[in-house]
Amino acid sequence: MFELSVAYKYLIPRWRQLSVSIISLVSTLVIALVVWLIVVFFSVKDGLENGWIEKITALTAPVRITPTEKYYHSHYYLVDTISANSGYTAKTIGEKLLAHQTDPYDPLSDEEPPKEWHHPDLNRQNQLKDLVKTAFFTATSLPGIQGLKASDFETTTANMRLRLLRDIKENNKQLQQSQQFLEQASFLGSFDASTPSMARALIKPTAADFNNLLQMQSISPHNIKEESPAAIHKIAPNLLQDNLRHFFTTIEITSLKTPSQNWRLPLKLLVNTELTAVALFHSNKIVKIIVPSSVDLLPQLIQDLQKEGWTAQPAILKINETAQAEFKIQSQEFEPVPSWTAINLQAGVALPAQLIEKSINNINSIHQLQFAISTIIQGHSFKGYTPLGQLEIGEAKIINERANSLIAITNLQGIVMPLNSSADPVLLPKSFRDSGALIGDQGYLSYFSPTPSSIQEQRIPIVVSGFYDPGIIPIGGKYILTGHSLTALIRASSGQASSHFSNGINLRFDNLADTAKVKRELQAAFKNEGIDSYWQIETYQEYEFSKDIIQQLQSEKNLFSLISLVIIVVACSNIISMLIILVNDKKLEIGILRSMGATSANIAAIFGICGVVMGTIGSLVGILAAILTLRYVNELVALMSHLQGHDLFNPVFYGTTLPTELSLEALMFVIMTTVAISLLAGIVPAFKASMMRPSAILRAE
Amino acid sequence: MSDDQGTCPKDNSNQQPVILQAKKLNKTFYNPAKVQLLKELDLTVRRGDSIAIMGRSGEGKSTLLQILGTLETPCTGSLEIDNVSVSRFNKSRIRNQKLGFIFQSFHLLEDCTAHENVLFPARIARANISPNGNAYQRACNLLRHVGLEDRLHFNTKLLSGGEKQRVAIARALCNDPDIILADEPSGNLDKQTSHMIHELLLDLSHSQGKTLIIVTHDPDLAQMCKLRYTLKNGQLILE
Repeated sequence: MFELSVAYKYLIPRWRQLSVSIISLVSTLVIALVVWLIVVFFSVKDGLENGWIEKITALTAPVRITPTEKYYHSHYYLVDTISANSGYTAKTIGEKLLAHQTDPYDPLSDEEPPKEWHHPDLNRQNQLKDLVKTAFFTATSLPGIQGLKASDFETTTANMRLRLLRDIKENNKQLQQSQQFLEQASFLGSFDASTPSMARALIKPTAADFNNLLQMQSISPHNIKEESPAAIHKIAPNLLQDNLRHFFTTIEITSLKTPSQNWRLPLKLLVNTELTAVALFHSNKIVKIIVPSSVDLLPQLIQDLQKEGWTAQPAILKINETAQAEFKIQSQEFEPVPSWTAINLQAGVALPAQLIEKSINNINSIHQLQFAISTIIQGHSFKGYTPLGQLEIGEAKIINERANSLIAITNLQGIVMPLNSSADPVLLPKSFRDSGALIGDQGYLSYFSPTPSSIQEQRIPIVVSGFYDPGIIPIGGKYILTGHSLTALIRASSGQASSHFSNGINLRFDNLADTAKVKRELQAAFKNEGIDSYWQIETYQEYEFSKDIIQQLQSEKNLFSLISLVIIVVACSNIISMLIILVNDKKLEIGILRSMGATSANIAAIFGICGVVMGTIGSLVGILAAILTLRYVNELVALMSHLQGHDLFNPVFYGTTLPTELSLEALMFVIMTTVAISLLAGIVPAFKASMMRPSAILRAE
Repeated sequence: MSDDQGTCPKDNSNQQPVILQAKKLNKTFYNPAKVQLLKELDLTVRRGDSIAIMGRSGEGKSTLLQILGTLETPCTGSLEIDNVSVSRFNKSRIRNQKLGFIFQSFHLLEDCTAHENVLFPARIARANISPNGNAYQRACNLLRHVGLEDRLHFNTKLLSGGEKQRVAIARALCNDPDIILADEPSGNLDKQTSHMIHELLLDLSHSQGKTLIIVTHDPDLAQMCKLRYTLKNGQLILE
């Protein structure tokens, strides 16, 4: 291929062809820039979209099978209401799945079905078709779908009221706390704990959660359904001890933190030391001495205290062998610290700590829990035992990941919910966290249940055992996830049983790309079984609550694809001008090549190759830059947010980190369009070159 | 007149087969006035002939040479090279296989070595140009013949005018063509170098049995050719 070697020769930048070289360099860079922009943009966008879609499908499922109107009017559904075997009540899909008999009707003892009922739908064996079991069986036996799983779901509504107890203190054996209520009408959904994608939506508990959970161990779960402050009781010491033993089998505290109200420094752990401190004065009397954890922090500490309105002065604190403290200000003499003066450690100091397990055995308040702490304060070893007192949990971790924990945790299969006998564990959307809810908070769900004489309010106690990220679904902020039995109970007793879309089958599988295929095959299989008219099959693109978002994402994608196509065309059109200059530059060589027998097609190929090579090099450079950018995208965003002084991306929508995976779709799009367009751009100059008459060129020379 | 040219009585080369036959060539330019350069021009060239075409400037010598070399198409008339009628479909192939060009201003490829230049017609012919292929060796031999064995891999920029023209001669012979077409091959060279080039050109073409068609002003070169034509009023006149 001499065309290749000639094209290669033309593409190597040379001083003699400075203008051509500069133009080709610039056009290549422009292409690289555009490719970089498009690949990064689409990768991040695709990643975000996939995250959103993943959350939508995590909460529900990629494919959902719901009963149609015909199902609720079918003999199969209604027959339970006249059958003694079914207790004369209609069954949910879950109950139908577990039912022993397809047809519980007993012609001998049960009353005759009303005339207006549809006739029973019989199968080939002349038996009543089991609509639910057939649907489940058909759905789970679709061939060629990885990880296919079906589970029934129930959705209902209830009013949730959470009691937020904060700043729990004991004074004269009386509980003191601030009490707030958080109330919201909510959707209540059952969820399938064994969903790996659901597990990704679960948010890790924070130190505040652990603190709250620990505090709640001392509150009696009884009377949770009542609202008066007097109804809050401290539990008996032996029960508290049991609770704490349970707490510490699943949660390990690794570090404590001094509270925002300064914590009294145990002087006996710092005997024979001299510490730098801040002395606080009030009407010329020393009222408080605050010790910073390190000498470097002293100036900042003084500044902060002065801002709060204190008269603060640096001081030296001396602790002798018997843990008696003396202090001096500047060059004055040491004098004993007055008895009314508190010596505190500065707020927010982390104290690596370990629980003394024996201490659980004889306490009647969590503040009496003993910890071994060990750290360095101003270069002095600070090591020994301290009661929890007003210290807070700084860091804790979940150990011993058993189902019997107090917090919802994730494992390979999905989410493990805690088992709690006194209240039903629920997962709340993360927006509740902003309203102040924490793990361990208790409350109740209320709903109204019709009885023969009146409508009564029912209350079911709940406990918050985790938070999840609902993504961008509009109703996500109100969607409480809980166990199957709870939703079934509320749904059945509040008379929402036959409301549509509140009961159905979720179909989950590993690969979202299979969605359309699953729906298509399922429809065919249902038709084959003769149950297609009883079930409606929807994919996540069609759900009422996600349809708009998915459509918007799709139309955005189309729009951006169009825009990027235009940008690529503009970028590649530089190639045209560069190649035309090149053709003019190389006129003589074209003539020489023609005189040696090169055909016009050969000449066109040379310049076509130049165009494609430039497009390809440009896109390769752009892709390489995009890969690097994506690898460091979060660092870049952090830097830019820092420079701008505010978050570049709203974390509510975009999450705390941006996706960094390269979008293969974008890559293919960019490579194919740049190569195709640069080839097109090469055609015009190549045609011009091939049409040049060799005689004219050679004569002119 | 065409009979005169076709059967040359002074020579006994009429046993040699005809290699190039041009019949009734007409070429008219509009510039903007009508200029008829060639009028019903006939030419028969036999294998091994060496022909000099002379004439005043502007008579159309170069145009004639380009028409004979298929670089230019005549307005009317036909051209046969090695008994193949030239058409726009086989032109490039004929140029590559049957013809070799030598220009006044050498027209070597830039940024290539002497050897690469000589090898280029073989590359266009898609021949094997690897160092152990025939074409590669042939190019080396040709450069040795023109006395440039020590300049094989020199960039042509570094060569003198005479050396450049010698590379061009070697290149013209690369694909072992039947006809060498030279347009003022020594026009840009000093007298001494010109003479060397003339001798080389004639010796080489003679020893390799090539037909040589030269357009020149140089009587010295014309004298060295077997046949000498003068182009006048669009017709060739044999001296």
